[in-house]
Amino acid sequence: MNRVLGLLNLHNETNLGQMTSKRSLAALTFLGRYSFCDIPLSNFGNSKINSTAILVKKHFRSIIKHIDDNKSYTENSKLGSLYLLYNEQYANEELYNTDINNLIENEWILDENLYKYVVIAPTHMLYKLDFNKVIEKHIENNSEITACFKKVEDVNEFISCNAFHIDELHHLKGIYKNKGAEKSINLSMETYIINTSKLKEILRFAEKTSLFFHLNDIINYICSTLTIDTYEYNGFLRCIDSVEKYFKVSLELLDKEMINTFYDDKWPIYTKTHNTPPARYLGDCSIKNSFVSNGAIIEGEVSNSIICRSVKIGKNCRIKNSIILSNSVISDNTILENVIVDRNAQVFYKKELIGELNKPIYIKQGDVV
Amino acid sequence: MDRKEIVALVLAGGKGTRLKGLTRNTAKPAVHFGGKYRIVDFVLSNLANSNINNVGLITQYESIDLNQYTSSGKNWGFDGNNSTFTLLSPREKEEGNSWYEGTADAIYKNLDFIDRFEPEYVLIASSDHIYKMNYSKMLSFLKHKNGDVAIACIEVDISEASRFGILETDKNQLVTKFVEKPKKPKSTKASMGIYIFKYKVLYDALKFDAKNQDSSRDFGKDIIPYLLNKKKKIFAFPFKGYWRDVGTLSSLWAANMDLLDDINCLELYEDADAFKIYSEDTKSLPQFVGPNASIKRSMVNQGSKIYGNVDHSVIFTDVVIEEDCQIYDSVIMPGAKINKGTKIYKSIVAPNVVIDENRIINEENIDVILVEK
Repeated sequence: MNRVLGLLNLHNETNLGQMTSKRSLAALTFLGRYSFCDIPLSNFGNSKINSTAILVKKHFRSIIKHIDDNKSYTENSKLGSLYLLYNEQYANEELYNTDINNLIENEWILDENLYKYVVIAPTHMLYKLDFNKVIEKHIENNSEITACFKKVEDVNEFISCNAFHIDELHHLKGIYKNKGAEKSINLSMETYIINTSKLKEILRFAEKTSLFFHLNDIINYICSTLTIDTYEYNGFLRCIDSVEKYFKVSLELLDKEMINTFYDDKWPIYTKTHNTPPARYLGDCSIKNSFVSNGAIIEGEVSNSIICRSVKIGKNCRIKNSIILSNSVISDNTILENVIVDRNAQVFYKKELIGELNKPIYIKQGDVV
Repeated sequence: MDRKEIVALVLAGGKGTRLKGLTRNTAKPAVHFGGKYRIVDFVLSNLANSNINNVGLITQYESIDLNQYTSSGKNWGFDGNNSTFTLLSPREKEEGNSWYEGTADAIYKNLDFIDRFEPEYVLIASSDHIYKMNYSKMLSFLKHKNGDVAIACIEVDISEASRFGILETDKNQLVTKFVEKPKKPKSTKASMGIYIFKYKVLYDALKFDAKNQDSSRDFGKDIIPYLLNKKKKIFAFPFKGYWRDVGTLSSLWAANMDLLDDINCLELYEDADAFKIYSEDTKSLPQFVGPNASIKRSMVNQGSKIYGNVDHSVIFTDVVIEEDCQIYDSVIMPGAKINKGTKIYKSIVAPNVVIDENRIINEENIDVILVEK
């Protein structure tokens, strides 16, 4: 779509402990083949938003490694762009390293002659949304800012996420942290459509108000005096905010009905290719209810699991309810249940690891155990 | 254009009639192989891995699939700096127009294309074979021997030798005799149809051949014998490794089965990034294996959904195999859907074919059959 800039905002990115100690959540593998950032970037691409930028907070390397060009996400490889923006000045100052300061430093991107609207989306909220529909409504309402939300009843799945107070005119009246006390909440999708001119005004306002403010803080601050419209979304939505949630949401998608609510052939998720050969099943292997990526070699027994790219599962292994990330090796005769094995790790000497469904065992990137 | 040391021309114009329905609307090099690849991926990946990045792909028969698939050569990295990838279909010229009549004629009609690069060497390869080969070693070999032509050759069984072009050589690999499909072969060195010529030598030979009314315009039958007559120094470059012709349904099937029987036959699963076979990428989920599925001794590509039983088979991209299916010793090409309860033995299922419920296909299980629309 013309005249729209897509911004992937990683400043509110959630922390998955060890899993995100060396990488951004945006670059963490999901469903065996994707990185989390592929999902919002594909939402942009499928919505025909060609011009995009990623507001990177930290772990720059992991993002650059995944995104070598924007050609993966857009229809025409010459039209549009994908910029990586970060705040050089405040990169190492947590308090100052906000999305607002990042945008102030890179304000050249907010070119009103090129973009009338800016779509801001996060990476830790998983959803499938055609932004054209939101923009249409934004234009129809003559809005300056539209905030997206979903009404959810499983409030305990979204503890500490932002929720909206919305009045009867569907205007945003406040943002608060969900503590799980209510029956249902208007969950913030951390997704906004903002007129470019208004976003620039917000930057000026922030400079005068508080340099520690994030976009969410500003919106919360101004919503009492400014009309902020809302857009209600009804589709698949999950928040990845802990290792346990990562584990749960991944395995949940092994359900046939569930995956169809998340993945649609007409709304593909684009990603980088690694030119790996098809997966190989050797000898007396057994595989049930699992996602398997290319390059994997399976000799043992796998059930209810996600096997990522180029993973090796040895003979007589029993892998159940587990996620094995790229290039990891599980040697012969190993039993794993409720385990996440991060990239390039080897389970070699330890022959049995059994975690709990709501507390999986996590093996760090590159570790040999 | 800058001078290039070597330019490659890949012959991809043949009809491949022996692949029957698989090549009804598509050229043989575009036929699928090995779960994710197409036949042409092998020669193009070989070129990329040999760092030969100026490539002309000669197409003629049903070229739409092939043109669309290879397009800019991007899948093999031929869109990089100083690389070019050109599709060479027959064209109308000032002196008239005509189809390519033989392999030599196809190159002859594109001499103007080669001239643009002013190359020292020209590599000519067919795109009908499955193999991994580093052509830069062959070029070094030719330079080292200070020869005019190098022909890649492989040792074959004497009983099969009469199917190939057979080279006789002295102890320095200098070719002394070349016979196309000899009745009584005197050597087991078979030509692989891969040549590196000094361009000057190739140019003169093709110009001469074009004037010869009796020529069949074929490298094996005309050009190589002519050069031998002219006492040009032709060397046989010995190749060791996996190399298969996949020109018939049964050989295509057998080569797919080779991948299952020996995981190392093409070294597709080596850890190193070195020498990958590049192909197109699809926008599909990873393959999904259902709760009651069983997969043994098989190769499955992304986007497939397997709910039934698969044994000793190669399953391509976006294939669906429903519950209670039994697939044995088969090759299921992209987008095919096998409905519930169907049993398939020793078959090649063509792309996008939908097979009804509870069918039994090729129960005799003797010859390979093709299941097409």
